[in-house]
Amino acid sequence: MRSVAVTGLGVVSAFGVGVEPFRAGLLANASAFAPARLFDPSPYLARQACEVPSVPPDPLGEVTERAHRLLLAAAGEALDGAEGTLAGERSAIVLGTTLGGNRAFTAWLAGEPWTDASELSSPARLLARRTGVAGPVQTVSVACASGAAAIAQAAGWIRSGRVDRALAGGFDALSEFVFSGFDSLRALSPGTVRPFDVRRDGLGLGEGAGCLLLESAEAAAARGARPLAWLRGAASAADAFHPTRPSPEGSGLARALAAALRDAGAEPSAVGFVSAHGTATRLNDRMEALGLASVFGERLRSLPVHSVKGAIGHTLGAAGAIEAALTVLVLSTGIVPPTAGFEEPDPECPLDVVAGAPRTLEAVPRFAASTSSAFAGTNAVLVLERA
Amino acid sequence: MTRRVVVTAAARADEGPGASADPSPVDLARLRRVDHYARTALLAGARALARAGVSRPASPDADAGVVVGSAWGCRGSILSHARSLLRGAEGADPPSPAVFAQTVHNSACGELAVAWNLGGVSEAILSGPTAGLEAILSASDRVRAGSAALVVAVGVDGADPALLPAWEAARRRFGARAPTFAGGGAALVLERPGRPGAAPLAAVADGTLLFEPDPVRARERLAAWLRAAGHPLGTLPLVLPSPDLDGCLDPGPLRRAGLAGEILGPEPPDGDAFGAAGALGAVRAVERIGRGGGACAVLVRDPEGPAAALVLTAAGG
Repeated sequence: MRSVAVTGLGVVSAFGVGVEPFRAGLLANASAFAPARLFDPSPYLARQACEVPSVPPDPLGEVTERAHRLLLAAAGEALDGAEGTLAGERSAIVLGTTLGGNRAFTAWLAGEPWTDASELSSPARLLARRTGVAGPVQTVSVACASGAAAIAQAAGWIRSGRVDRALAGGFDALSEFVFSGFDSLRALSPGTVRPFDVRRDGLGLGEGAGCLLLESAEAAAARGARPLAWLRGAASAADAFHPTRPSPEGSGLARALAAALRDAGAEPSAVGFVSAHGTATRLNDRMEALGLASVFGERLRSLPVHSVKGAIGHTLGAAGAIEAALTVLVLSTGIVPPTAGFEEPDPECPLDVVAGAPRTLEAVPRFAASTSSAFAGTNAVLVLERA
Repeated sequence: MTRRVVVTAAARADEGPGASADPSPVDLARLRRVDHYARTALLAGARALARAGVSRPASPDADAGVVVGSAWGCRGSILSHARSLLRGAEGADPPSPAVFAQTVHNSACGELAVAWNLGGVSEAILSGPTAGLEAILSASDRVRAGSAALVVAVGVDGADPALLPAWEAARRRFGARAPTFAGGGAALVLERPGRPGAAPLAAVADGTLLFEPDPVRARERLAAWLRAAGHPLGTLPLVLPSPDLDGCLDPGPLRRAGLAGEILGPEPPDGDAFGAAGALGAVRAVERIGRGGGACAVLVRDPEGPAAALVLTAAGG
């Protein structure tokens, strides 16, 4: 089985376009929540969201759909310096999204002309045409685990030898469609989003995109690309508990995590950082703490854990990819950013949540895990190793 | 280490009351509450699992999973939620949480996982017309790699009346070649050989996914792949379940290229099943192998560029 190197990162978040504003915003313990401007939030209990302040236009002027422009910006950054390397039959594109170009779909419902931007798979095809990818081009949609699932699929193809390189990631744009839905579920916090905090009262929505350029060790070496990290393991698992409610004990997440660690050949004791899903809902965070505890045991109390969702919101299909990018940054620097919004620990979530200020780890961990848990009970976990 | 992958059951969602195995672990009340997409996937997947003799374990089985492929997914529920939002702007009832909960495309995975305690891989592929075949290939990859012992692969797209206006709008770019909207659902159970009581119907020999917007080059690449994989071109039965929208899989050129023996399809014969087509075609291929042994290939082409191929062989081959 071949090694998979992460050789490029791209992030678009409410902190701005690029990995650097994302990293700097997290390290500053900032929160990008502000009153929603993309639609009128006044009918809803919550009024805030994390919107990307300025979504770049498509350089070729073909794409207007907001979600797709988020994706194009992240893909462009991940491919920076590697343009042209994806051309040919030995490359793949795998994207994850929850709703894709759903704004185009709702615009059509309101009387606008139909465009293929409404189709979930259209951005993957667009990127394939632009990059010359002639291998597999796939779109996965497993709700909030979509970004991680896309990366896992791409990595699997590289490991098995089917392709040498892949652009993989996730994206989703904020819309009233999603906002109204989460509002109807009473899942949105009207105040500060506080992952794992005892006072947490709901999630906050965001938008964004994350992309990783993945290459076999041989392909990366052939073009002199320096691995930022290695993607060693991946797995998904279903809760098989309830169509909409998460397993209270986090058993699906635990199965996915255990399987991903086995896939990576990593003992739980070798994991030194977890980028958690951490939505800040009562149910999710408790479930996640129990799931992590069932794999890491007592060690979990001293295992640094982080959630980005108090800072940039829940970016749905982008979340798993953005959090994978964060995990690569932590493995590269040994610095864990604070979890925005977290102040007071919850006895039901006995985690070492990094909070208040960045923490420089005594030693850069060898392995780190990024976890995602989705509506309908899909869990996906990525295990990365420092380069 | 790679493993052999066998097909131990094949089923369609629309087999009706005469079907040989009822999806008994499915909660019928639940079936009535879910949207057309999840219901079709649940019926096809549950029927295949029952037919394969897979009993529902008492707790979630980490070695058993589900992969669903669809072009339109839960678009019917998305449409309902979006319409309620538009109506809400006019002062009508607010969006329903029950509907919103079904606006995720992995809802079909979740329903099957709950019904059958499938605690392993859970994946939904929304790649357009090739999605059903992609689901089968992904499921096969999981078994081959050893990350699952058994995966039910489902291809599904609903002929939900609510979707017809969207489909009509989307089809216009294909002009007169566009067929009627049919929809459907089908499932295969893929697993490693040796489960007690399982009777393999076929084996997965090969599969590929490629992206090629030019229809002639796409045909050439599929032919080259089949040749490189060592399949007996010219006599290999081909199932072409999707309507041919760009001429890539016209039977005439396929025969002139020496690609095809017997050609079966489209599936269903009177319309386009979109993401279900590949899985419906695979069911047809399993039936063909059951009648005559040998190998059978399923090819699906998306005129936007993607193409997928699956080669099944006799279980003992």
